Amino acid sequence: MSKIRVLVVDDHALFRSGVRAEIGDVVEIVGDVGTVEAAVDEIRKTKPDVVLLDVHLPNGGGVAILESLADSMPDTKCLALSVSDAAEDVIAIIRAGARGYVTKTITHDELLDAIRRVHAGDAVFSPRLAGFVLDAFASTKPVTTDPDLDRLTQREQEVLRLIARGYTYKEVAGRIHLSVKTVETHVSSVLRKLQLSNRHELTAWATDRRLL
Amino acid sequence: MRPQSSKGFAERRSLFVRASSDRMVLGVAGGLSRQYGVDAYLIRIGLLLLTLTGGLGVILYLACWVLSSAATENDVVAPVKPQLASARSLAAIAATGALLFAARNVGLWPGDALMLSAVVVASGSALVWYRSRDDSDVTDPLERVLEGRATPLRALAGGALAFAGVVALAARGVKLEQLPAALAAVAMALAGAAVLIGPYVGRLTAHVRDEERERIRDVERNAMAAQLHDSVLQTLALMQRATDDPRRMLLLARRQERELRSWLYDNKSGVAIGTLSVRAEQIAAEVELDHGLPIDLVVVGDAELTAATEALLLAVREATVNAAKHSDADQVSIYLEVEPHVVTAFVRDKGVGFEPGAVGSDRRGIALSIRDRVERAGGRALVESGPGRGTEWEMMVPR
Repeated sequence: MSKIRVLVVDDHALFRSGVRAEIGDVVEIVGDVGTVEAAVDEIRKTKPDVVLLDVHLPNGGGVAILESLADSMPDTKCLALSVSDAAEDVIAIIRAGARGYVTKTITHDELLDAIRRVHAGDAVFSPRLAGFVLDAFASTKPVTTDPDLDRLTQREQEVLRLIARGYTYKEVAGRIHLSVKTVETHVSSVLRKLQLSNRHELTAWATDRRLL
Repeated sequence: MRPQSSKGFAERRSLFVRASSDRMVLGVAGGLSRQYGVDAYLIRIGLLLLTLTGGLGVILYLACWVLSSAATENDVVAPVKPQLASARSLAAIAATGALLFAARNVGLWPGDALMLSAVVVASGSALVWYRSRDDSDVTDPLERVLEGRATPLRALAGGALAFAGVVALAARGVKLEQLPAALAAVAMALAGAAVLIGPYVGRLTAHVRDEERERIRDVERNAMAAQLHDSVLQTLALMQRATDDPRRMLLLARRQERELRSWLYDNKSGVAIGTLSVRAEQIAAEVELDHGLPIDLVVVGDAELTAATEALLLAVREATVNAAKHSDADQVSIYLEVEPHVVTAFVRDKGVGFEPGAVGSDRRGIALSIRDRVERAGGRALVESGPGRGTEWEMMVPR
């Protein structure tokens, strides 16, 4: 199996070289760039499998990159990576199309695992993201015509709670007697709801949350 | 204040020194003002009045100019700050009055009514424009006049005097039917003045606004610099000394991250102090700091603190400290969820675990105290553990 091709987008050169050093022997780092413009060019040119995307970049951040690539690069998956865990940043980048969100304090094994998972088409939820999603879906009322998109199933909530409590997907699976594949399906379904639900309350929630 | 420039007087054989800094025409009034401690505007008004009486003021002005010399680089030209009603100023007024009286007697006089009106209007304008003395570092004369503080009293007095002057002018022979024309003339004169000094005033206000904006920016920059210095720079210094201890470096970095984040996000958005989530953040940060173990906290929902939730948080703290001390895990996860009627907490580590049934162990004692605390608050606490399986506490209290 060929190595996963990864592009690192972060405005701190130190962080980029750090990632390169940490995971460069397991995955193929096809490049690292520090600006939105360079990232868009580089992604079109190198067609990476996975983009490690910093939420905060000058000129629009990760969201701007995701928006300018929205339809043209269906095979490139994005994993958001940030030191910020403000709810609004996280929800915004997921809704813009990122397949997952992890904080920069993640260990290198966990990061590799997250890259593999995103590459395989699954979603990556850190405990904090799981907490945000539970909070968002619990505190806004479903109002649209598509209630399936506005509500989490019992099972999905259960899975998210365990992730928020610090369980890995594998541990979640063991705990509630499901296969890891099923857990991944649930998480991906949550991600889809998060991205497609057109409740603007979701965005409002993320913005308001800091003002609570 | 003793004028500084008198030092060079003897060598130069001049009455006083003219400086460019307070010049309106040739700098004579400014120089006189500095030399004798009389306000320059007073001198200017006196000279103007004397000029109206057939040119005496112009003659005096030119004479003073001849007798003075331009300032050289060696002269210390300090701006003068005379007292409002100093003896010298009174003397200058008296001298002007005497000269006016003399001019009237020798026939250099355009008529009592005109001169009286002129004196009243001039005094009125002077009073309105008269600059307060607290900040005299502005040297541009027009700017000084415009920036002078208009206190209500001064404006009222000046306005009344100017009005009296206009009335005197009118009484001198303007008929009632000529009044509209006279008023129109006054309005035109005022409009002309506005056109002349309008741009100047505009520039001044823009200048003041810019300065204010710059000042606010400075204050913010200083606050940020102070914060960064107290926190980030200190931490970086500590980290440089801890290069051989990766665990300590990690902790320093984590602590700094927490601190900086709470400063960046919480302060600005006015997060309510003392809610469950804020308190939980504090507890996580404290334990992380005390025991050197990363703590991952996730809070869903938020609530005001009550006796029950306080008890829950203390129990969470104990469970977390317990994990930090005994579990040997890399990190501890805390999860708090606020539901309509209950608050649930989970504290989990992936460490060595313990046997909940074993009697007498240290950890069991702590477990009892955690359970006790929660139960006294009307809730319940369960622990799930086993050797090698990690430990997870589940606690719940009613809201």
